[in-house]
Amino acid sequence: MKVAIIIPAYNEEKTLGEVLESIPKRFPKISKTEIIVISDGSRDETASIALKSGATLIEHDLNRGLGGALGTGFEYARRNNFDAVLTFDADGQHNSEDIWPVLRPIIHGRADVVIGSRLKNPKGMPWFRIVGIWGLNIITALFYWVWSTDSQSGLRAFSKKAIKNIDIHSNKMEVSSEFFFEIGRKELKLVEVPIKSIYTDYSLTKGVGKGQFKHGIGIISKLIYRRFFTK
Amino acid sequence: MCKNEWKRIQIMSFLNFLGGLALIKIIFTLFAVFAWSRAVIRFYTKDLNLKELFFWSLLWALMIVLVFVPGKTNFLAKMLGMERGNDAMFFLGIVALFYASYRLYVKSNEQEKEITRLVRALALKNIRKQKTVQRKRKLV
Repeated sequence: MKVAIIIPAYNEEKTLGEVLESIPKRFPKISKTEIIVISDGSRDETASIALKSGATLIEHDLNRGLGGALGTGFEYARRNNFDAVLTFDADGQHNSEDIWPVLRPIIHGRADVVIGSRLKNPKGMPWFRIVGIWGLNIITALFYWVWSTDSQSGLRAFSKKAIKNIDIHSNKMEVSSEFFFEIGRKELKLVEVPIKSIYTDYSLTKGVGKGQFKHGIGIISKLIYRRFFTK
Repeated sequence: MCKNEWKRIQIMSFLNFLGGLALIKIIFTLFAVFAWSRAVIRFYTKDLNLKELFFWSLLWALMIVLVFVPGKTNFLAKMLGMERGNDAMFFLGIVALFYASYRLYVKSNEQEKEITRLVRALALKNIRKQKTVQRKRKLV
């Protein structure tokens, strides 16, 4: 079984090296693990750090956002016939010990999509982030009729069926919610497992959080567009 | 009638005429003429064809006529169930603006997607792997 670990990264030189170092090289029942860093128009040392660590590097010439980078990773996985995909954030907020629990339901054929939920165990999570994620969970459920306790989680795993069927249209952060649109439409089996997040000052400046109300409005408008105005 | 008296009447009638012209009408006419001149220039630079020039000329001429002929928008107002022609024009203007901004939103989204497709295609052609490191890892 071949697994692709996709790490979208935009100017993540501060944390990427450590993140890549922390990812285990072997997992039970998996013959090949390939780490793929999608450098999304980075202007710092992200690309060279990825290469030095032995990861496969796919470089976007222009910054397209999280959705654009994940779409490229999925396309690579489809072309190279991977059996499973795991997405992992480059900002150091994920614990590499959570990779296997997230991957396991896919490997055992119990799920098509696994979401590593931070809100099943929200200890240490800042209140504004909890509120923001709950808000987007509710909006995601209203638009796409799929409930998740952490619709914005970056640690997810996908089966071969999911890789084949998920069609990513979004360019930016709204991709996290778009996955649920695809899960609902393509009738993919969803499982959630609790994960722990590591919150540092650095990781808190990324993603959905304090002072990012405008960002949230942007996500909502894109979700409306995706839900009602595209195929 | 003496010559001075005649001149006075002429001036008064001209001022009356100006008084009947609301400032908005003058500004709108100037704007319409300016917009039409842009269409003519674009026709000469071959950015517009004859059909398009005809369409824009007709549109701007119609706009000027609508501004100057009193009561012409009342039938529109009646159709829309409103009392005044001006209200109907405002309503239609807002609807047109909403539609235009929606079209722009769709267009910019589609272009964003096209750019992503292009960036992705280029990126997937130039995948890089550090072969030496991979070999070392295999040996371990």
